[in-house]
Amino acid sequence: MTETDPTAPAPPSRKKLLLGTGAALAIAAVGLVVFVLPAEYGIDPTGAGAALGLTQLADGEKENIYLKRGQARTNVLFPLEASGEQDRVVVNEVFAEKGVTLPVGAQLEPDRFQIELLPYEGIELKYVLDKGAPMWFSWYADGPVNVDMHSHPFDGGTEATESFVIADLRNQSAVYVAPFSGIHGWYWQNRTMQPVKLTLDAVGMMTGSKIFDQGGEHDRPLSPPPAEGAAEGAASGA
Amino acid sequence: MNDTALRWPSPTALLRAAAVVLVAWLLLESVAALAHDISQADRAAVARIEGPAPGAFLYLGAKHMVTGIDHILFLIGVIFFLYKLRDVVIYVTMFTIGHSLTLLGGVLLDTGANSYIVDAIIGFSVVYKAFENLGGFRKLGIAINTKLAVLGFGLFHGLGLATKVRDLGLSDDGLLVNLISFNVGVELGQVVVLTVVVTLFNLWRSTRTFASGAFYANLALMAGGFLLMGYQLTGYFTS
Repeated sequence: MTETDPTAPAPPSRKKLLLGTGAALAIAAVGLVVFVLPAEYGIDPTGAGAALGLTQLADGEKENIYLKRGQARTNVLFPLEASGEQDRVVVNEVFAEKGVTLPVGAQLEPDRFQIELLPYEGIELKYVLDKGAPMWFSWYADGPVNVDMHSHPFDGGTEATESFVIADLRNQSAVYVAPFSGIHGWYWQNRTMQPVKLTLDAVGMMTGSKIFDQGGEHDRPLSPPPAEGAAEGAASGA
Repeated sequence: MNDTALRWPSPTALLRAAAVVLVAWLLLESVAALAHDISQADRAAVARIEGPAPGAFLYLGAKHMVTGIDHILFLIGVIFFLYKLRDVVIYVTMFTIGHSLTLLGGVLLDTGANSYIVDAIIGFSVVYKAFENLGGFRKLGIAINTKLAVLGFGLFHGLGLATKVRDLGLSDDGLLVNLISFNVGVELGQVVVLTVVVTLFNLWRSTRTFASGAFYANLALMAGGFLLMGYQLTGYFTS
């Protein structure tokens, strides 16, 4: 009592204190179960959240119009099981397995992209692919990265962006068939306080690549991996 | 007045309490929604910042304080029964020392705690302060050094702020300048919040409704604290 002004009211009776605390707890519990949990987490044990239209807020948070557009596509991304390290495959077999047919006289280019992302650093790599051009890819990071795999057409620009995967991942392997002519690739961000090394191998009908970093957009030549590398072996099988 | 304190509250008192809870609730909901949306945009903006940007981080620090309902509720609880400006300054200084220590230390030493747990403890700090204001600890015969308690909970508020700063994704370039700017911004935001809260309390204290209303207002504070705790603990257990 020495800490507060003597004019502060006398403490309430024990009963009033308990009732009051209980009432505060009950109000909080009702507010939590009826409003907050449905709206924030989509947890709706009473059904009130759905009735009040709150549960859509929880869904809405994850909803992304680009992702919605990209995931509405079929026959674009054919996920492969990632082995947890740098994958090695024979690209033609993988394409055949996924029912992807190569155009006559198709030229498959191998490419390797390596980068170390400092804490909270992000980088974007895009391949130039024509409509229907297939590409196998596999990337692996030695820590979790936040990735947005997305594309946008030359015709329509970033407004027409389509995202296929937005997630925290360590690796991803798939066959990708360009749904339109444009640039196709990944934005990776390291959201940890440790540096993360990332390696991407790709083999496909890429005709070029671009890097988007703090300095803006740069053209990047395709660079085949060293002879014993995964994609080189894969490419020779093509 | 003394009689009513021992009986069930009158209908008007209950109505008033309900109004306080409702207003607190609406405030909580709208501010939480607002803070959430803005922080998404801020994160994107900060990701583009390289090097010292004191102005931007000053503003972000102030904004986190002004839109942070957990910090505001705690400050309301702290100054609830502080009538003299000198006491306000002493308690707020304790709070400032506490949260600055862990804000600067947490980011610079790169030590982090689970943000859900830290935010749940911050919610608990509101419950604690409201219970203390109700005279609960006196009733239970527990003596608490209230200044030390404010300092101690200040440490947790700072840990929460540190987590927010780390979430923003500061680059190492200009880290110290940006961090200190953020901290100064937090204090400026705190001054803004306190100016409003202390003014409103001075207006309210001079009315007859203060003595009876204080009980229900602290219950509303406590409910808000419990709600924040439940919200954060659910986040912890579902993530």
